[in-house]
Amino acid sequence: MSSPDLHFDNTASDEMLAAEATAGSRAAFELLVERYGGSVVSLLERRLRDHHLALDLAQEAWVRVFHALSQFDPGRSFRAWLFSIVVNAARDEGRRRERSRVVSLEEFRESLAAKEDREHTDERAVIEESLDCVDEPFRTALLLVDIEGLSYDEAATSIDVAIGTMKSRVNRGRLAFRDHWLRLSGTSAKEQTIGGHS
Amino acid sequence: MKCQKAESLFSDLTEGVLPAARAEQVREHLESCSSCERAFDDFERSLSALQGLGSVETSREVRSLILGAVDAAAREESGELDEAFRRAALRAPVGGWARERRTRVLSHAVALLAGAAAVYLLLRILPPSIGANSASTERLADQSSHSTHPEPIVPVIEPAINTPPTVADATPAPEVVIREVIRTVEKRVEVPVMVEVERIVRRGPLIELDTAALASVFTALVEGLNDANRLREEELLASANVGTVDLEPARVENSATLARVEEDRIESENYADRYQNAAVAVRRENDSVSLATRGTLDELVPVLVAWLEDEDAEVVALVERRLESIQHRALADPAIRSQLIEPERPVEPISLVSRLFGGDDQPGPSWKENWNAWWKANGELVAAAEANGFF
Repeated sequence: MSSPDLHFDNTASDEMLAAEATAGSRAAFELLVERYGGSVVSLLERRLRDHHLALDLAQEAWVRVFHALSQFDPGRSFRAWLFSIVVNAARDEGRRRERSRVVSLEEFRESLAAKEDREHTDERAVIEESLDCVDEPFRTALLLVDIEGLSYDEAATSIDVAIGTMKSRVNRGRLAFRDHWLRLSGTSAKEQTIGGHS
Repeated sequence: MKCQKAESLFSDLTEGVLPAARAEQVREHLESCSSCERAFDDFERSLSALQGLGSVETSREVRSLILGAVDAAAREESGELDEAFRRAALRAPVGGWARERRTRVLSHAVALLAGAAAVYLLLRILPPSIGANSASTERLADQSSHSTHPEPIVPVIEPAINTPPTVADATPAPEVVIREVIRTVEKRVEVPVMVEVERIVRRGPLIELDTAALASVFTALVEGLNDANRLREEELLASANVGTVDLEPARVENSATLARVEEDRIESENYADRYQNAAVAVRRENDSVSLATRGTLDELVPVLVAWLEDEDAEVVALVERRLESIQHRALADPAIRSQLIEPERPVEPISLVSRLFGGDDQPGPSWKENWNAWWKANGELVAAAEANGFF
């Protein structure tokens, strides 16, 4: 595969590249994939907890982006638009899996036991695990704002909620993350954060 | 202020978006409540850790997968349009990528109609013997004493390009030089794979018509056929069972060949039987270069790599594009992808693509160097190619 054309400056805005891609420029599209391909896979992987499935869904999501390019309004944020497609893809897959997956009680207990037994010596693994423990929709809010760096406005647009709702979810998600992080790091969050509250 | 309220404002306080008075209230609470002060400290530390994860950069593998999927979708889209064009007797695919290409193809279609009318009128006017003189590539191949493969693998383009300039006006006819070179690899032969080279050089007169329409028709046909061939071949390569091919002759198991698709295309019942060899044919006519391939990946790749040494830069560019598409589609193939992203799997038998792209996400020589290095490692094969005047 050829490298993206050099005439697209790396500082070109996402919206400009999207407009160029809409006009038929593959190089512009490649640059967008270069910028956000990894993020999309990462977000899907964290949402679905399945690397291979995340790779498959990421491809589907980008194909959706490709087909929907003509509908993109360059006056809006491309990131918000992109992640709305990605989050929707993850949501659809989550629903599909919920409908099809039946987990026996025994299997569920085993998975819980395995999770508890896991060692958390690696700091990054602890962070990932803590994030994994945050419930939806707060986890997605953290993924969009704190991991991918979307603004509250962009993140709210991505999942089609009010900006106030997004800010609330982010704060609650951060608090939940903090508690899991302290617990998995070996420090009881309850001891530190709940006791003494008036 | 209550602890719960203070906690709900932790994000705003961290981000500095609280009104000054409100921020002061929260800070006062934190100073007076050691528990909340510690909770806020933990909040800031955990947030720093969380944000430290950062977004993930796009690896080469992910990039290839995504672009492969998108290109496949684009081709699928173009296939539908291609079908529509085929029904209209113009086999010009329209890609999902370049809208300007759609415009160009449409303009070619218009030119085709105009040109077809001109050709029709021309043939009606000319004596019958002139029409019969338009020798096809097939005939040229048949007449060639060098040819061990009498049937050509390239689609034959037969506009009235070899028609003698009798229609002509007073201006001298320009020359068109057709350079057609076919390199083939014997199928199911002992290692090392032997390369046979055929060279057919054809020079002939090009009629110059008063109308530019015929030239436009010819251009449209050449471009359309080039694109159509490329897309069809890429589709086949994508579907070929290349992931488990081993280069040991006893293990060559894949049977998906371009000939199979070619068979459909030219409506020949025994095409696959007649064409036993993989081959790459390059045809240059003035500024136009076309490339057609036949064979499985393990057969085709060596031949294509040999072409990288061609003196014609445009031919090399075309071959590079074809190799890129092979790499692209190969990486999009689930079987190959699973080999690349699951290195813990048994390494035997090593697939062709694994040999070429193993550890694809690691920095290293470019793919072109990989192709060349791999190919040139087959010394005996290179010697065979050299004996035929190439390299």
